[in-house]
Amino acid sequence: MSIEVAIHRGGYQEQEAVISNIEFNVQSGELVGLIGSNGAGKSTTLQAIMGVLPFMKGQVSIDVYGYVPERPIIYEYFTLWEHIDFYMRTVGKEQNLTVRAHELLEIFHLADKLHEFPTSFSKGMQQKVMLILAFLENRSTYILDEPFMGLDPQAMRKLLHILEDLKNEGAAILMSTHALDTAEKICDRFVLIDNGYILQKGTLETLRVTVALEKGSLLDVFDALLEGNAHG
Amino acid sequence: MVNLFQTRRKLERQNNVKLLASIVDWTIALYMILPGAIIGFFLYKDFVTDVETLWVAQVPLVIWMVLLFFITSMPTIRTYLQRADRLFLIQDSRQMTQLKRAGFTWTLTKHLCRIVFFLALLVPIFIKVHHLTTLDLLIYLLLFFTASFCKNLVHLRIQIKWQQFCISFVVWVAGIALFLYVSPVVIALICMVLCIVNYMYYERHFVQSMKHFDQLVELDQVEFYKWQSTIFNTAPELRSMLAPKMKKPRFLWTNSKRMFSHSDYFIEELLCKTMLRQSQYKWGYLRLLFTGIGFIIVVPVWVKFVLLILLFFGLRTYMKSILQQTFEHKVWTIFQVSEEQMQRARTRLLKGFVDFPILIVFVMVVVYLTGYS
Repeated sequence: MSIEVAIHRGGYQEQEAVISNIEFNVQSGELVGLIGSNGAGKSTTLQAIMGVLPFMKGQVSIDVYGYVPERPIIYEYFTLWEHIDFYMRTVGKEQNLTVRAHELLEIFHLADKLHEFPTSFSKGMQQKVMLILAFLENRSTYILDEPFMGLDPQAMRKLLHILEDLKNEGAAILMSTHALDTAEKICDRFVLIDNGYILQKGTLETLRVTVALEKGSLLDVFDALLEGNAHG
Repeated sequence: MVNLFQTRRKLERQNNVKLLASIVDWTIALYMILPGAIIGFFLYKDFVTDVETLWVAQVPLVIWMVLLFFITSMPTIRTYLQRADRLFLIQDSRQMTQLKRAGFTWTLTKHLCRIVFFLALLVPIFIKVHHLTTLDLLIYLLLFFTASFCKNLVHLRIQIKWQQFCISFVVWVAGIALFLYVSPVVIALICMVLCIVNYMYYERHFVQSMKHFDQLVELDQVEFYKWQSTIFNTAPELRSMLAPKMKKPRFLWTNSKRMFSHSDYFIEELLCKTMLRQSQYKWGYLRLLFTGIGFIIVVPVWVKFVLLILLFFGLRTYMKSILQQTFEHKVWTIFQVSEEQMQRARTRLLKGFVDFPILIVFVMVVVYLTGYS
């Protein structure tokens, strides 16, 4: 299972394309980082992949996926457990998922907040709720939009372990992030986006060769690519 | 010098009119306001001409008085102060005092008109059934006004809700006791003295003093938004889903237990819990249902069925708008549910929240009319 993306044009209105010519894929067992500055078109690309962008021309092939949104999406009138329970009922595997739900609740230290409204949680805790819902069921594909946002170092480490496990189990993961130092360590390949176009894509080694920075970090490479793009 | 009170009143009125215009389009005017006004006019005309023969004639005068004490409660005394006045206006104590005094006079005048309106509506009962004179009515007008004025001033001093409720209760009981056991002339004298004392008290402690600035601003803001909340209540599409203020559910299904044991009813459960925990949705629904039932009980036979039909469509529109708002929530990007599942839930919910209660009311009306004839 994998993600195949071939977007010709996409945006919020037909006349105004925000992203163009975005083509890449994510193979199973691979973690691909979607990197770009603010407003580069990362979240728009993810929306197009999920099929929720108002205007899109192109082809996207994706299996049922687990999703972590850019900002936590909480249903105001459900407690934490009701969110989990509702999710389990939508996928219809309640018996199997209950054990996994309790495991994740323990991992992210939310087991004692089960009957509280997540709207009263801190931003980091709300992000943990999103992670629990995304990783509740073992999916073949995951879309993670800034999953590290607001997480404490301990939770971040646990998330990295989960991502490693999922990769080993053969999941295809597409992750948009600004945490370049972390992305450098865990991503297999990168798709660098600027101004709605793909600036460059490939492994860190390939990208280093492109900008002639043999030992440069992902940030150095990204900077160099942006500079090069800005100067023509 | 610019009259600050008039400027702020004008701005507030313009805002409110704009907000109202955003929900009252020609369809609402044509299908709701116009028929409502015509039916209301004929109903009131019947009420005026046949009041002696109607069931309302059997209601004792004291009950009407209790009812009027409730419905003529005075709103918060307006000051038209704003938070930014702490920075600028507070330095000009003369203008600030004028603003507060104008707000005070405006609130009292508006409240007096409100009591006159309610008393005037019930004049046929008071004069034709209970044989009260115009002087009696004027004295009772003064009694209602004084009672709500006293209650309001006490509320300014006591902010705890249950204590405020107890004070209101004591004021109402005192008002009813005066009505029952004291002669109208004495009532008038007591009320006039109380009104003068109250006026002087408010003028000294709240108009001329700056000590209660924050409290007055806060109360004024609540009063300002009261009108807007009423509009949002009547137009659910204008509301946003407000987060509950509490940390945990306070009652019923507090430990996240399922409402329906049937596993497929999860969307229904989401909406039922939303209705239970979102007070605007819950009270809006109950208010619409019970006001409708109340009107169906009191109106003549020919209007009962018209009202029942209106109630059916009213409830249906209300519930549809809540369902739409719920289904437009971003959370459905995480909970992946098919359109078919949503449609099935929508049908079941409309049956439960609209068709079922309306059917019960219909059966009750038919049983009542069959027994009556």
